[in-house]
Order: sequence, then C-alpha cells, then structure tokens
Amino acid sequence: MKTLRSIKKADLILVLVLGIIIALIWLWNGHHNSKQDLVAEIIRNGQIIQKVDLNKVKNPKYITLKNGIKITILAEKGRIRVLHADCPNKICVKTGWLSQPGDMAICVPSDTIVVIDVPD
Amino acid sequence: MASTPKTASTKKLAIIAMLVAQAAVLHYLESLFPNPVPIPGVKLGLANIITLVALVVFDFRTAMEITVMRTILGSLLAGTLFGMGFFMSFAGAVTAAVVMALVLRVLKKFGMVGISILGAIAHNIGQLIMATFVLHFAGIFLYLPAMLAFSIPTGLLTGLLINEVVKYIKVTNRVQAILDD
Repeated sequence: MKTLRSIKKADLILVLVLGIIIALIWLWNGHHNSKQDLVAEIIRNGQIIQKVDLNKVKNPKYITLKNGIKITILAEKGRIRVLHADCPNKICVKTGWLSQPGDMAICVPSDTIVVIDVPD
Repeated sequence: MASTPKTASTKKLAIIAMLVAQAAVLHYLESLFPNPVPIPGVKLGLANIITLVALVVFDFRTAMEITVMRTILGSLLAGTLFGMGFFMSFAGAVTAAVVMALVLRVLKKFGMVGISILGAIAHNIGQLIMATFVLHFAGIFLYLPAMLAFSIPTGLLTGLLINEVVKYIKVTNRVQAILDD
C-alpha cells in the first residue's frame, strides 16, 4: 500500500498517545462510576425542569415536553430514555437507555438534555 | 502561493470559488448520512479535506475564508443555516483550520494523517465549546473521550484522502501553473 507509506512517525506516535489517553479515561470512568446513585435531570433551554430519582421509580413514568419540539421521555427503575422526539435526526432517541452517571441524550434542535447526574 | 502577483488574482479567485463549492457540497453530502453513533456532531469531516488542501496550496487567510464560506453555504444547502448545529459546525471548522495551520506551518513534524487527526480533535473541541454556550450545559464535554476515539479513524481516512489530493496537485502542478501563469 503506497498510500499508507505517507503516514509519518509523528502520526503514529500521535495515534498511540491518543489511544493511551482514551484507554485511561475509560478505565478511570469505570472505576469512578462504581457507586450507583442515579438522578436524571431533564434540562431545557439551560434550565433544569425536572429531576427524577431513577432508583425510586416503581412504575414506568412518561414525561412529555410540549413547548416547542415535542419530546416524550420514559423513566423506569434504574434507567431513562427519550422515547420520541419530533426532530429530524432523532439522535436523542437513538441514544437509547441511559443508566450510568454521565450518560446523556441531547436534542440540539429543541435545546433539551437528559443527563444522569455525576456524583461529586 | 506566497508571491501572488496581481495578474494571478482572478485565477486565484476561480480556484477559491471551486474549492468553496466542493467543500460546500461535501458539507451538504455529509449531512445526508445518517449518524451511526448516538453522539451529535460525530462525522467523517470530509469538508475538512478542502480546508487542509487550501492550507497547503494557499495561505492561512485564504484557507480561513474558504472554511467560513463553505460552512455558510453548506449549511444553507442542508437547511441548517443559523440553527444550533450551524453554530457548532462553524466553531468546529474555524478551530480546526487554526489548529491545522499551526501544525502544518509551525510544528511541521506531522504528515497529513496526523494533521487531520489533530484537526478533527480541534473540530470537536471547538464544537463542544460552542455547544456549551448554546445549550448552557458544560456537561456536554463528557462526550469528548468518545469524540477523541472517533477522531482517529476519521482523521486517518481524511488524511489519506488529502495525501492523494495533494500528491495529485503536486505531480500535475496544475494549481501552481495556473497561479504562476
């Protein structure tokens, strides 16, 4: 492969260093997230509009946001997800279930964020 | 290149216009791909190819002009102009252009692949800074590790593509011939 020969030594070192950084972040996160305290925050236009303690949810709970782009959120015990969104890309829906601190689903068009709080 | 006599300016303008058009189309095409991962803003960065080619062929200022124009035109084509996504890709594209220019001109150690990867990382960081402003939510930086991971394959791909383009330009000397003419 002639094309691959254009990769310089510095490029390889860069990839290696990046790989190590990413691996370290992942390891650190796995260690940090061992204690489970799950509070989901629903943020719209920069304001927390609702907090849900996911460990205390017994029956599945639907939350519908109507002002602007309509979004339906489903909270269950230990997990939460965006079920439906009236936006074009549906990235927040595709994100699926959020169950770890730091997990988040973001809908950029409607300025809505669902995030599980990271304990201090 | 550096010495651009006045007679060459119309030809330079034509090449700039062509690069802007190409980059705008790449920007638009990329918005048609469904995002394979649930992270907003992860993409191949095809339009970034043109930014780096412009940096190699022209100076920083010209490359920046091309980058700004293609973000506006590309977003206009994709129908996202002045939406939140537009501001994010604008910030990302500009940050990437600045960082790639620095790496290309000052550090000089990296090949096109390394420059692309660093450009992709800069793009992500610029995007996240802008996202923090538009969403009023700094927690979005939690996406950075995943974005860094994606910057390696995407940067590798675009870097290899840029290599081919740059090689072609150098071998045929077309752009240079037009500018020197």
